[in-house]
Amino acid sequence: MSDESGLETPGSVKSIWPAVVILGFAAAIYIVAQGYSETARRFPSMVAISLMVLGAIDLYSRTGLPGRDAVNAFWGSGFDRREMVKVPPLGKELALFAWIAAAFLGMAIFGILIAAPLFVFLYVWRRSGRSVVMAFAAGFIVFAFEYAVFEWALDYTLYRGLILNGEGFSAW
Amino acid sequence: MMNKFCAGIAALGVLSAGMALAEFPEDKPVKFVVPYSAGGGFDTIVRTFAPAVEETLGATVVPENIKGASGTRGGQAVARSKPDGYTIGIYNIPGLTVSQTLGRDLGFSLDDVSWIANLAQSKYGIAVKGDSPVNTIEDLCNLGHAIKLSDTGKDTTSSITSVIAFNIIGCDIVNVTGYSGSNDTMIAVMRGEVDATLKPISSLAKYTATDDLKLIVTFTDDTVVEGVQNTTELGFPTLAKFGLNRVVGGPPNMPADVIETLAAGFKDAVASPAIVEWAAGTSTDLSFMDAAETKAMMDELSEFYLQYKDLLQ
Amino acid sequence: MGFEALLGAVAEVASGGSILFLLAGVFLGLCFGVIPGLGGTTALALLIPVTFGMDSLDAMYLAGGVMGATSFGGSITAILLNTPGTAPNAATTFDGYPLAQQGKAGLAIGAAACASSMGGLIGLVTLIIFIPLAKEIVLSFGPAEFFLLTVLGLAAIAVSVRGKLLRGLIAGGVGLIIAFIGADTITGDLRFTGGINYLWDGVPLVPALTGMFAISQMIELALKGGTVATSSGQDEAANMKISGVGEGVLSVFKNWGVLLRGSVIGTLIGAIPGLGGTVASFLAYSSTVQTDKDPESYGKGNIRGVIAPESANNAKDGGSLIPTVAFGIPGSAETALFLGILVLHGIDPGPTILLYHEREIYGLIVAITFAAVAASLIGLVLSRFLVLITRIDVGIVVPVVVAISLTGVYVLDGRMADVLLTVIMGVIGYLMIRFDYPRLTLVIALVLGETAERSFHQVQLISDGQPLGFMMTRGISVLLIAAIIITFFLPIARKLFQKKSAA
Repeated sequence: MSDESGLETPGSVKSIWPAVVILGFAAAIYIVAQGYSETARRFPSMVAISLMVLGAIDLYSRTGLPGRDAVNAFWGSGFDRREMVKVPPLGKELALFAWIAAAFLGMAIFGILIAAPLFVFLYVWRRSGRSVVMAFAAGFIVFAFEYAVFEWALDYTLYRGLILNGEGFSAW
Repeated sequence: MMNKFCAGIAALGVLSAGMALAEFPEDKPVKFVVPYSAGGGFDTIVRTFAPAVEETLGATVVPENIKGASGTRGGQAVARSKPDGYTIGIYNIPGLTVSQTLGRDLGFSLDDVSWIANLAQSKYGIAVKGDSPVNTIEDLCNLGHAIKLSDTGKDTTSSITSVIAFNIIGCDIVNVTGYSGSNDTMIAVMRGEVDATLKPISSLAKYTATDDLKLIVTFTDDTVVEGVQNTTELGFPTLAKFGLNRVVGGPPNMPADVIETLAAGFKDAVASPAIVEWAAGTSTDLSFMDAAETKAMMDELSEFYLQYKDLLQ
Repeated sequence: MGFEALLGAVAEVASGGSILFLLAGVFLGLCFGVIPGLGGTTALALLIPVTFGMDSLDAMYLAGGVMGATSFGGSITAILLNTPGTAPNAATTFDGYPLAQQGKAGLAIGAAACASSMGGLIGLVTLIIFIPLAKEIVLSFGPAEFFLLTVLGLAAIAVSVRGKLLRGLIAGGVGLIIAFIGADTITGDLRFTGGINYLWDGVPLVPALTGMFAISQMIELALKGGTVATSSGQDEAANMKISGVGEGVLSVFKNWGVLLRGSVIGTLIGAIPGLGGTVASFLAYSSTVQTDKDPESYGKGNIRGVIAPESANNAKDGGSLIPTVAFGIPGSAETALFLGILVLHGIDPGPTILLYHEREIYGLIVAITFAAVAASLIGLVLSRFLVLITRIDVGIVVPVVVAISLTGVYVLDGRMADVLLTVIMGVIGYLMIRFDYPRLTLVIALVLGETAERSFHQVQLISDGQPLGFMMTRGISVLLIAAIIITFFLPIARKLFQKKSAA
């Protein structure tokens, strides 16, 4: 199966594992739901069972078993017209997750007003490899925007961080 | 901003007039925690009271919305604060009382809260569709099927009240829950999908005024609406105990003098023209109780709901 | 009677300082609408304390300006960055973003601006006509209709996700399960909370949406590199038309049928409190696709795919006021906050609201309509600059959008836990992009899931256990059932038929 741009669908995308994860998730939800009262478990159980059926079809369409093409044609489960054409290397993906996580941790520890501009500055400078001046400008614009709109115009106190806030996680 | 400025001037005026204030409140602002989001009933009452209390107390009062976990997260935040009077909160009573009685974990104990004052109390009534042939609670019970009532959630005060009240009256009910607000529950009655709804009289008043709904009984000791029976005259005096309270409290172990100062501030605020006018416009039932009275009411409420523990579980 | 009051309100808006509050609202609304993570709800929530000291009419103009302007602001980012501001804007991404990728963002923005202001005006007219019937309209939608409406919304979205029916349905199922998290509205039981206090009230929508739309899209863009408008490499980039705005505006008038259908769907479905807006824009989109001669051209940058949801989007603002004028109840999250502002000013919303507060209500109607038009005009003027966003290096766009959207999520409720949820949903959303599961069905299922469950439960109780028989006796329910069947099965039938004729 190839998509419009002529690129092969990457193995990780068309492998059976995403469907297996869905099946496992649905089964787990079904099992947990059985612990609830009758009314409370009705909808979750129904959805979990439907999800298992759909997951099974997904799994089947990913195997090389006969009839796969017919299944794909009917359910639109092929991989043409994917949103993300090229799949990046895992290391790059993890590094980006780390950047986003760092932005969150920075906000949590040092407060939004400090960490948000700092994140923008560091990201533009280190990851995007732009000049320090441009990175500083981007960071400053974010700071100016957040300060002007929230702190000044709307008189709102942005989160000050675990260090300055003094209330620990209870203020979350 | 103008507000704060005016309040500041007013505060200065009060101070210079020589009114002896204890160490509390100094120039620090008092944080008034609202456990629900901005724009709701509890938020409105706090934001309306804040400027009035600023004047009577002589300190800036800043409402803060800490919503979440069915209103318990705001209560937890208050419980963890220093008991210096600079953090107070408003509580949904008896909603929280019932939750605690049923053994739910609120994340704090209502028994430890330093109760300051009760600001308002709403009594309940039952309403049916405006053109319904049902005129009394007896008619309602004789419909020939379990009475369908509309409500928001199973744990709400009105829902709990319905269960206990109809148990006392002796009629079967089906509580159709899940409506997204008290207005929706009343509109459900107008649509005719349920037979009746039990709600604060002041909320029902909006719809009874336009004859969309008809009040058939009030949960009170006296006649509050002309021509509508009350539960006490029907022989169910217990039902008049039910109500929805807006109660102010603070962190555990608050010093008595701080509580007294705050309670006095709220007392004067309740009587202030601005609040009285606002209450009349929004059919809010003001009902001030001081710290001791509030505490007594809280104890009475937990005992009251404890006897129905099995029914509610 | 309605038009007289309307004219009075117009005169009032035009005179004196009111227009300044309105314009301030429009500016704020556009600003908050454009920025992912912020939206009309956040803007109004932040304004509540600010309006406290204001005159009640001025407060209303400010609120009306915000309410009318945010939805167009949200469409701009839907087109340029594939990150819709709110759930109703999401349908615009189907064809708006492909256009931006092809360097035709100007065309898309022009069409969106024109369609949304026209939709706003049509919505206004419909609203004024239907005000006398407002009570009857609200009373004819009960739990049965709500349940069917959520099913209709899910059906419309499932068939809209670019022919990815299977994985679209799977994502929808996961979305429903996420919607079940928290205290069950019916029984009060805690479900799937894993003992986490934060999840008692369920997964909050704004952080979930921001993570799913904004953060995940930024991760994808960052890993792709380059700029948004890079579908065909460097050479063509130089030739890309930055204008096309005028052409976009014209395209709306050329496709007036699409505009009209979108607006009518927007007003009618938008009138249903709660989730009308989201269902309306997807239904407008899916019906346009299904009635077109060439359904295959959608999802690849068909301008009609922008016009339909955009016209529905602003027409719904008029519709969402129907419950408000009828009973003083909110028809959307924004109107809920607006009513909160009224209460703060000592006005108690109720069935008599139109009787006693005609000035405020008509003032709001005028303000919203004015704001929708003004926001579109401002959008058109600024579009040349806005389009540049698609040509800025993602190395700068990504961190700025991430930083500001995370801030925006915090601001809504002041909870850092919301920010954490946004990050988590962002990673899940990215994995969905990577493994080719449509995010939109998950998000829409999340928005509709709770209503679906509780209204079904209510139908069951009020119909004494005979839900289907109960629905069949109600006219609107029958219509909705028919709409569901047409929406869901028509495309499938067509597909089967096509295959046979091809073979």
